[in-house]
Amino acid sequence: MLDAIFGRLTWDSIILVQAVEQPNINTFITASAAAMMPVGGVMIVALLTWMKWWKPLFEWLTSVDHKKIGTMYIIFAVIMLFRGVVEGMLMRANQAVGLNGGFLSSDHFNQLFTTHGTNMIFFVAMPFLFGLINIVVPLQIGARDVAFPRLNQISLGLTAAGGFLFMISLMIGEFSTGGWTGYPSFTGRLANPGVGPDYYILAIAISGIGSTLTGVNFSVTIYKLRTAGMSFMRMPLFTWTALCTSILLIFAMPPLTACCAMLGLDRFLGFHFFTNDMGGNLMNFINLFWMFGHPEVYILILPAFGVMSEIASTYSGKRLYGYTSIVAATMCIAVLSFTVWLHHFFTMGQSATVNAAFGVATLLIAIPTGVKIYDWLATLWGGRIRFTAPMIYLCGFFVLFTIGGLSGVILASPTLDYQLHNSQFLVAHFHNVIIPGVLFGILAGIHIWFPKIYGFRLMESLSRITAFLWAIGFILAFMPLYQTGMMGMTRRTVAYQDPDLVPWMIVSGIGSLILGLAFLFILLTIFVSVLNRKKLMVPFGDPWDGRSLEWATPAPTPEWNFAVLPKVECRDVFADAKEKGTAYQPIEKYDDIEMPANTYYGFIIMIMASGLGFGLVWHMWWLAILSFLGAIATAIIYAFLPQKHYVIPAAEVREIDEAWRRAAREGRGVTRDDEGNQANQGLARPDNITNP
Amino acid sequence: MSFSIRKSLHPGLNLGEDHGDDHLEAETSVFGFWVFMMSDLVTFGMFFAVFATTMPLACCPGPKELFDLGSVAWQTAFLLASSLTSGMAILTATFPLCGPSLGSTVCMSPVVSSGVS
Ligand code: HEM
Ligand SMILES: [Cu+2]
Repeated sequence: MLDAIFGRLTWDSIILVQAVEQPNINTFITASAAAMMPVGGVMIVALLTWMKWWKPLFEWLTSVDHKKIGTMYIIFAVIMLFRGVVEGMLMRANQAVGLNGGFLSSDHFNQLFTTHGTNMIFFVAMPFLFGLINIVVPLQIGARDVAFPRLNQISLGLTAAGGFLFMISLMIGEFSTGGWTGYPSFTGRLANPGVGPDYYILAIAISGIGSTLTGVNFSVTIYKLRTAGMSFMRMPLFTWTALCTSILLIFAMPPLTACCAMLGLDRFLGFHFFTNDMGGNLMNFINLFWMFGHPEVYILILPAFGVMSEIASTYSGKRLYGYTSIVAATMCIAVLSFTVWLHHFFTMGQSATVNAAFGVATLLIAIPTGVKIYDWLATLWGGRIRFTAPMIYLCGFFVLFTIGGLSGVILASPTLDYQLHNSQFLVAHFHNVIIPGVLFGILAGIHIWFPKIYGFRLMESLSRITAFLWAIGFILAFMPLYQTGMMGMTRRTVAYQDPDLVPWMIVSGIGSLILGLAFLFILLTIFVSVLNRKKLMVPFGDPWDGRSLEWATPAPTPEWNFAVLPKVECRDVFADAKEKGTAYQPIEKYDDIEMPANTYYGFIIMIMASGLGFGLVWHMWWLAILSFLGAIATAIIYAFLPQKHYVIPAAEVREIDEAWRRAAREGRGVTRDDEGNQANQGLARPDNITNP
Repeated sequence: MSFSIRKSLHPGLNLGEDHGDDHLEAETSVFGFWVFMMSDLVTFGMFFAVFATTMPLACCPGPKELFDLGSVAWQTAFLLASSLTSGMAILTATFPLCGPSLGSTVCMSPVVSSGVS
């Protein structure tokens, strides 16, 4: 009877119970992590009640406003980043003392690198980028929202449901030990009958469906909702990269969905897609996984490149050098990224010719990437450069990302890869492109666009310290791994025997402590800025002398984004308008604005998807079936309910918009010298610099 | 609207001017539908790819021995019919003004266009 209700779930599955039954350092660590969730939950409930924030909370959760959905993505990603960084630090601490065995058991260590990798890719990097794209793209193309606001909410719900499964595994049961790549047959039913791989499959499959829908949504938005005159070659580069990323999502997520589905069939129903016997072939999984996996790294890096393009032009006060070549390079990278997946397993038995072909294809990608770096450098040349936080990120990116890219070129050569495959060299390489590339782009992007949505800047001084901490921490933590990799240390090892490795491991451990500090500085920056928000206000909405449409709105941006949809006549429209002095011209005619109303659709789907995942993991079939049917019923019901809208009367829009325009026309504004001061109210005055 | 209503707004059959505003309003939905279909196509393509690569390796009975292909055929037909009709239902629910013709036009378009080409 109990089996029918609880499936495989028993009392002992709960981590806290395990810690009481067998107290040791490993269960102590897992139990403290597990305990953070109920404790955190109670604290959040208390805070919400104390501040009377329940109603606003539900207004957010049911909102279809792209800016709010974007913010929720980012908050989710920050929480997950906390977990990821702590896990990284734990692993580094273990390695620092890992000569002949550290303090972690091998099973625990295996779970740590698996959760860390899965988390960082699927629940940190992707949600961060989706958040940024959500917030920025509709503003950059002059739209009021994304193409399918409700679908956007559903995507967020599915991502959150995946995140829920991933987090609950910390408290109930265990996570997979198969790495973020989850190769069978190790993750198959025979080797791993437990719940770990099931959590892994369901978490990434559910959030993966959300990502596919996000890709559809963003691409339709960019294709169909551009304002009048916003032709493709006038789009800001961040929007271009968002478009390429969406296209990659549309084509690269399906292989992941497919291989998760088949692994699931193997595990749940005893199929033989990837088993060792009965005609199964695990290479199929590995191929499918990397057909997703390689485009995935470009899904992550392209929007970061977009942010870097925006930084290069905005923070040097020039138009982007080689716009067309950057667009072409982005497209080239997007296409090439589908042709190189095999470089992740050069050592797995293909012929030398096949390896050589994929090696060359991989090397080719370095060309368009190099083009971009030169374009950005040329953009800075002779510009009005301010060494503010985003520029620090950009400079760090120039140096560090290039090193990471070059180590990628080394790995792309099959002969060398035979030596370096699965060594710490690889760990150094991918962190080297992910942290200075993706993460720097994300953090810089948050710094740039934060004032747009919340109306105040982040503290410049703290942001700069944060940027330096990330750079220094990264160098210390990961550069030593190139060396240890070449000394033969493999990745994913809990212990090692060579004493020569110890000094490198200790440096790396210190680096990870600095990275932990860097994470705390993100929180500190936001916290202190919120406290000082009165002094950091930028009501005019253009704190950085921006060039694209999003800066042509007040900050915080009203829910309708643009009082009247703007017309675009050239690239860098807003910079052009400011030069001609037409930026804040009065508008003759305002119309009523119709906006989609809040809905519980995404929220319900999130609950159903979480229930479905949890039910499947624990073989609680009743829960799985109920949730599944519930999700379908929800979709059907909402399909037939008329979509609700609410109307904002023209008079109201006029009042707010006219006041802002008038104040901006009359205001004096600040030059770039005062960008970081209190004087910066978000109104830009041209600098009188003589060009060299 | 500045652009011509005659213009083709998305792949497949367009509603055309007879349908008035619905012609324009359906644009994003139908275009999004096609984009999603592309993604779906890749998913199923992957299943077929795995099937194709596994076949030569299998030691054991092949699909002819394992499956009753007759029943697979009518099951597939039912499945497709069900997708078609639910697509029609949802589209007509979303754009009620133009009646069932919209749903059927749009959903038939893959069939029709593949027939035409
Ligand atoms: C913030 C500081 C970080 C630290 C201290 C850190 C540390 C580590 C360590 C120690 C490993 C295990 C290496 C091994 O296998 O021997 C690892 C693996 C990994 N990390 Fe990080 N990392 C950090 C940030 C990131 C970020 C930002 C990402 C991606 C967005 C990331 C993605 C990964 C992935 C994909 C793996 C591979 C997991 C696997 O082997 O399956 N890491 N990291
Ligand atoms: Cu790759």
